[in-house]
Amino acid sequence: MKFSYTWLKDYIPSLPAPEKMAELLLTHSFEVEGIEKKGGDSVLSIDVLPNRIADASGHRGVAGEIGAIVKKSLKLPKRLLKETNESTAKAVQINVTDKKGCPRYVARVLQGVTVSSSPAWLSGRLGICGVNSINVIVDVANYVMLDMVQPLHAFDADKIKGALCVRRASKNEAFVALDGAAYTLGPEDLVIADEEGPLAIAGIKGGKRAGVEIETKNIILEAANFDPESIERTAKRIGLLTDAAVRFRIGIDPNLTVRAINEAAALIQQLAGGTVLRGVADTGKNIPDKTILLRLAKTRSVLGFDISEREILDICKRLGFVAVKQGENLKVKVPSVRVDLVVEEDLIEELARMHGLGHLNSVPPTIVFTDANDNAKEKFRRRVGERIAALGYSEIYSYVFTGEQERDFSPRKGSLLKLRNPLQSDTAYLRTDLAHSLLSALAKNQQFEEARVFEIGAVFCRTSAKIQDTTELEEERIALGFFAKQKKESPFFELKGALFSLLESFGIDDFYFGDVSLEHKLFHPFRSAEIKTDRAILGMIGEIHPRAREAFGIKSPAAIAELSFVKLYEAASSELQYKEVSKYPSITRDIALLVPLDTRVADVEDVIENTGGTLLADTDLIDIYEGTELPDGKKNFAFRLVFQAPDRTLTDGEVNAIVDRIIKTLEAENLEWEVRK
Amino acid sequence: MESLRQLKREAIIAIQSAKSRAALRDEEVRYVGRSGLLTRILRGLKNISPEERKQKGAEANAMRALLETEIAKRETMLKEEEYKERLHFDKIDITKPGRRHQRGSLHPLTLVREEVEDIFEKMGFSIVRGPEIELEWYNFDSLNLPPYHPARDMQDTLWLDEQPMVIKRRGRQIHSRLLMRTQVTSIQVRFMEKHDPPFQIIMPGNVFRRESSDASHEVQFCQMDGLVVGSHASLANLKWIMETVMKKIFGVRVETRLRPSYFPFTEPSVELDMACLVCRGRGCSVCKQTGWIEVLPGGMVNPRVFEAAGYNPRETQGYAFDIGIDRIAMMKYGIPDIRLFRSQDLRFIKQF
Repeated sequence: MKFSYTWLKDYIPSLPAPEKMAELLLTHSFEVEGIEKKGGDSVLSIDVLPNRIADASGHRGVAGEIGAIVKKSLKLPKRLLKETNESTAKAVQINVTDKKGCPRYVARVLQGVTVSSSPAWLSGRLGICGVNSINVIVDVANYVMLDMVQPLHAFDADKIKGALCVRRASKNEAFVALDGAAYTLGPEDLVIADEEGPLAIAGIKGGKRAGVEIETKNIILEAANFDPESIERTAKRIGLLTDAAVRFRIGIDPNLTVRAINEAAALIQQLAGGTVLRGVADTGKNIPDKTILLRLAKTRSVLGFDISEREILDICKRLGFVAVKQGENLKVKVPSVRVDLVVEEDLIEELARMHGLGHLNSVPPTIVFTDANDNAKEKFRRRVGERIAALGYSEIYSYVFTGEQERDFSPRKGSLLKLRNPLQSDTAYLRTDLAHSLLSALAKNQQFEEARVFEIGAVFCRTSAKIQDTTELEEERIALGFFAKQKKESPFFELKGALFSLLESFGIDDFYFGDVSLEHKLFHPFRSAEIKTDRAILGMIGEIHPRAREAFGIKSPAAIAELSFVKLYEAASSELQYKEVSKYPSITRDIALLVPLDTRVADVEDVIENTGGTLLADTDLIDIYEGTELPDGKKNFAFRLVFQAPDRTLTDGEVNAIVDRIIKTLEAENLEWEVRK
Repeated sequence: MESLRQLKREAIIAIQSAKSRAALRDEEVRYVGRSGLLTRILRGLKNISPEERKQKGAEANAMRALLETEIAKRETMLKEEEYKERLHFDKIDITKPGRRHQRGSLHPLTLVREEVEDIFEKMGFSIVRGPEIELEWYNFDSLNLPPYHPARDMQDTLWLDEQPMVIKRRGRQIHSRLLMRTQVTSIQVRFMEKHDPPFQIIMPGNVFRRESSDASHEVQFCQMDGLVVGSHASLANLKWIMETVMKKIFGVRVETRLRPSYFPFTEPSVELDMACLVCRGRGCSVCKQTGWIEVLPGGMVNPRVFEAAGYNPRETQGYAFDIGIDRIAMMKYGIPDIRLFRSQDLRFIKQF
């Protein structure tokens, strides 16, 4: 909001220079966003805080604030109002049908005015505040608003037919504003109307029909108080946030109406002549000043220092509050214009501000130990990230929003969550997996020979028709993504290796990669697997289906692995247990066997491990070979078996017997398996 | 015993002038070997008196020890020379690149978030999380935002296309709409409904705004709120916490100032500014010529919030603050555009 420096100086003759004043306001009240020299004046752009619009969106309020800081009282103008004997209440009839929408409506009638352009000081000050000069009547109304916050409006009394009525607009009621703009109103909009229709959108904009013009002789001046919610709604709906609406939507002191209308009437009389009828037409009455109890002990506890009673009383006085001691507390009467002051804490804020936040000593808090959360889980989340990064993967952050295309690939399409008001159509849904986020990341980094990315984040979907809490709608996941332009084997194995290292590093040793139970549109049906333990499915891993790769524009084979964070955490949380390291030497034997091309490593490995018994300490696949010198349709597996006993040195004889048994079992298991001796 | 002394002189000269380890080995055999000269001399002592023999024997043993030491010394010397000779041929080109290992990285926002978390955890704070899809109740109502507050507007908040959820609060049924949380402050009442004071927590997480993005605005960004509730939690404590955190992140010489502000959920409300790191307070485009940047909003928790959480508002006090992780990261690393964080561009990500 723009303020005039000279205007403020009228009220505080010893006003500090603009820069100094800005500094004082910033540290005690509001930020001054700019100071600009204009003519002989300075324009101050002050960011009046939302809760202070009601008192400080006018020059008197800001001057009062500065006065309180520099300990000076305001020098306010005294305006003389000469009234005739004719009563205002008889000359103007006001009929408020919506008392909630308009708690108070005050009017005055001025007759025989001369509407001309404003004197230079008036139009100049309006100009400083960014308001155009129209004519002396409209200008005075605006001037008083810029001075005292209360918006005012002037009607040409001779253009009004019958009583003034404050009512809700009827459906599709037409209205033409002063500037000629047309609006269609409805029952949620409050209007000022006469017999013929709306004269103004209440608290927002005056209409053309009864506007004050050069020929106008008699005027009705209005100062009213409106329901902030109604003003807010209408202003938003019609997109018209006028200076008046900015003030009314916050909710202002109804007592301002009479004060402001008298000020305006006197100023009009001074500048435009005419006579003012006696008294005001008023549909309400003044509300009393509020009294708030301030507990001194509480005040000191909240501020964190022993503010003296003397200082409290001094600050109250400077701000125009009346404080009376009552036992250990103060009863503080605050002016009604300070609608932001309701409870004790509001007063404590006043004390903190005026004491100076800069002067407040910083005091280290007393630490209370609180174990409010599962910190182990936080630590685990960190470790997962660090370890995946150590495996060569870079962490990315993605938007949680996705579009139609991703939706089509989602296995949980039916339970997808949608936004009511997305910014764009391609961000209308919430992601159901991290795979999509990673695919988009891989697609963006194809200038590299290969790319490794990972993300830890939430995915969303509706789990059941009726939910107890929104926490049910999301799940935390961890996902890794990889592509390489040149690679002999499927990128599946890069990720499988990474997962192996990761899971093993957390002491998870009962996991395996099993066939997928449900086909996933995103993955290659024959190059994907579920990551399982005996108790849970941790997640999924797979090469990306060519159709998905095409959709994302990824040229090289790519793979994604995605795991449930909670399930991984649970799997990793089992207690680690020390196992004794054997002191006795181990014996190593290799077994090579020819198998059909479609035989899987695990098929053979399972037989070996199930037959090997407790003395078989380890089985490793050391080679897979396919070549022309092998029989048609065969490949060669080579396994290295390690035998060890915890309590003695094994003999060759013992180990040979086990190996023989393994070989016999292998050959019996599948007649096409041929152990090479 | 002229012969022994004579032998010693000879032997030392021979050992010290041995040209190779093989030659040294020969000298060792010749002098101290099983049938070497020293042994032979000792054997020649048969015919002397026992006392004399004892003395001579001791002398001979001392001499053996001396010669062995000399041999070991020479051996070491010869070995060193040999290394020098041999390893010369092993010379490698140390400017040749090393074998490449994949290097991954953590996201700059993760790095900053963890750094800030560490600062607070050392002060005894616990980390608390909450859902990104939130009820209007937790995001707005319980935080003292009036029903018609501009922030709830379709323009500022992303709403879900879902039926409102019916929740019961203090005997009242509330129809609460679902939204993408606009602030992690939404976790406050959630947490307080289940925990009693005293406590001190930080609440990190993603928040969402319905606004077009530019260099300093995003539809999605990271926040971390702090909340301390306890019988002595004061504004003076809040000031200390805010100043201390800024010093820990940006160094002890960081300049800050505290000024009044307004938020519906705090009263009194304050804002901590720090001197712009780009221009050092002289004024530049980053700080909009003011020399200062708003970094930490906060205040004493509004009693209405305690009331919504079911606490006794007159007897409870505490403070809250909010840290914009994206903004801290931008200042810390000199990142000019907030959109880079979610650009998924590895040329950016891998710098951290």
